[in-house]
Amino acid sequence: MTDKALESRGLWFAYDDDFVLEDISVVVEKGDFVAVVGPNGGGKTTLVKLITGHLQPTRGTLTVLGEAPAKAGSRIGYVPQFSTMDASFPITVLEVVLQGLFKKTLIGPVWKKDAVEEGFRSLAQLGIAELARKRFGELSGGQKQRVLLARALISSPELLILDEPTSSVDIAVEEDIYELLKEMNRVMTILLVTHDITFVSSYVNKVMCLNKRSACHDTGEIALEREGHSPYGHKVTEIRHQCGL
Amino acid sequence: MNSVMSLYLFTAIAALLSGIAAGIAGTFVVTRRLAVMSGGLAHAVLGGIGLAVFLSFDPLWGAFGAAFLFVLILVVGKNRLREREDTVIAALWSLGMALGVLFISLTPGYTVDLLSYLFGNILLVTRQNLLALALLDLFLITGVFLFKRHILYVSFDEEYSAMRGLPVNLMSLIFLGVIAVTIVLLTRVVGLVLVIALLALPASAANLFSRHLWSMMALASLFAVLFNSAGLGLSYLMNLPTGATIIIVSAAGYGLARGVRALMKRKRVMPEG
Repeated sequence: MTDKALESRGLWFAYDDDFVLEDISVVVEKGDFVAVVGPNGGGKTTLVKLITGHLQPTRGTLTVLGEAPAKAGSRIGYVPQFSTMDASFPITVLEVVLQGLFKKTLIGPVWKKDAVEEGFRSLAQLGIAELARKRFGELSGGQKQRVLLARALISSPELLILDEPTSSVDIAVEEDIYELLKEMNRVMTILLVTHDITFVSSYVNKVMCLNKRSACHDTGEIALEREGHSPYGHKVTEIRHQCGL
Repeated sequence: MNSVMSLYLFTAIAALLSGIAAGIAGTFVVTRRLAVMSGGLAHAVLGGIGLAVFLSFDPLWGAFGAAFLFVLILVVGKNRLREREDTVIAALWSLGMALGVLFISLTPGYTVDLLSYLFGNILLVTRQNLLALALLDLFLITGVFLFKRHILYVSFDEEYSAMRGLPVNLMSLIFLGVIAVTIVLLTRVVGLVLVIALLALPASAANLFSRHLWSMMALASLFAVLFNSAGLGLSYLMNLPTGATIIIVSAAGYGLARGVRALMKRKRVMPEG
């Protein structure tokens, strides 16, 4: 058994000849709550796809929960951006959640009763049990996000990965989600890809900055400076961290 | 049984068997957004038919060969050569048809009507075709029963399915194979130009009323059988070309389904009205 949830050494990745990640060496300990931040095109989603085994490293090594990513898949819970899901696909909320329990050996058309009950429990945990029989595509953004979170949590994963979970949900939902994640962090490692570092800084214990290259900090090392009013009339928050990026 | 009666029966069986396959394969086409690929494949098949006619063997085998080549070139072109998928489809679409026309024109003493391959002819449907369609239906229904959840999850979210250890690539290839075989067998009924509508329209109509993938397949099959039967009946009564009539009925059926769906929605929004 290893105590590392994630470990990469000299990890490089290129689409064709275009390097998106260069020499990434990071360690995430079990029990960490890590925020992955960085500009668009900085490689955040690519890193997630490498961890879930969807892409293979061009160079270097990556181990997830002590295994190769392709083998660790069933121990990972993954919450993609709901906007990438097909809204016209005929599937119910309950069916989506139960995907988190599905294995290729389950032949035949129906779920066992205890699996269905577990599906309802998982939805209830997120306060959306009453949506179980609805069509997934008809839900609001916040509801879809919760369903995808329920799908990830139902398998009691050791590592939970979320890709921009709160983009296009309102602030109340966002707070709810982070409170729940804080709770979940007691039993699982969490890797959260986000734009909004100010909001999550009170929840996470580590920040990974990613802009082709990477740097990791404990949250204590990051200075958040609240500034005055910007020319746009909004409160802006400047983040200063010694990334060297 | 006299010959007119047996033709009726034959046609009715063809409508039923091809409808079931069209509904299930059509659901794959619609949910996986493969309508353009399927249209291209259907047209490219003419190349194989032409070669078969030229070398005088069964056009059905030529069609299967061409469909297989189409899928192979598409997969290799997209994944290995990184060529744009729509470009590969467009090229194969035209090339297949060009080869078909060329071979057919080179065939000495050629008598078979090119138009029946393009637009279908129920009289071209043989006993063998019906048997092949019946086997395809059996395969599809059994496959969906046994692997219902595999099919659902790979179609809905490939990435998550791969993470949970499902054979995503193999299954995607099987989906393509099912679509290709269905198209080849259906071209006899409605023709290769029109077959894509028979796959896409009933399934799209069914998607308006379905919360599950399997119920979409069932409803799509029901719609396809209805459109087939109505089209065949109408074409017989009014002496119209069968393939074209089936497709026009399907389009009308899809429009009707849209209308019904809109009315249902309005009722739900205003329960008093």
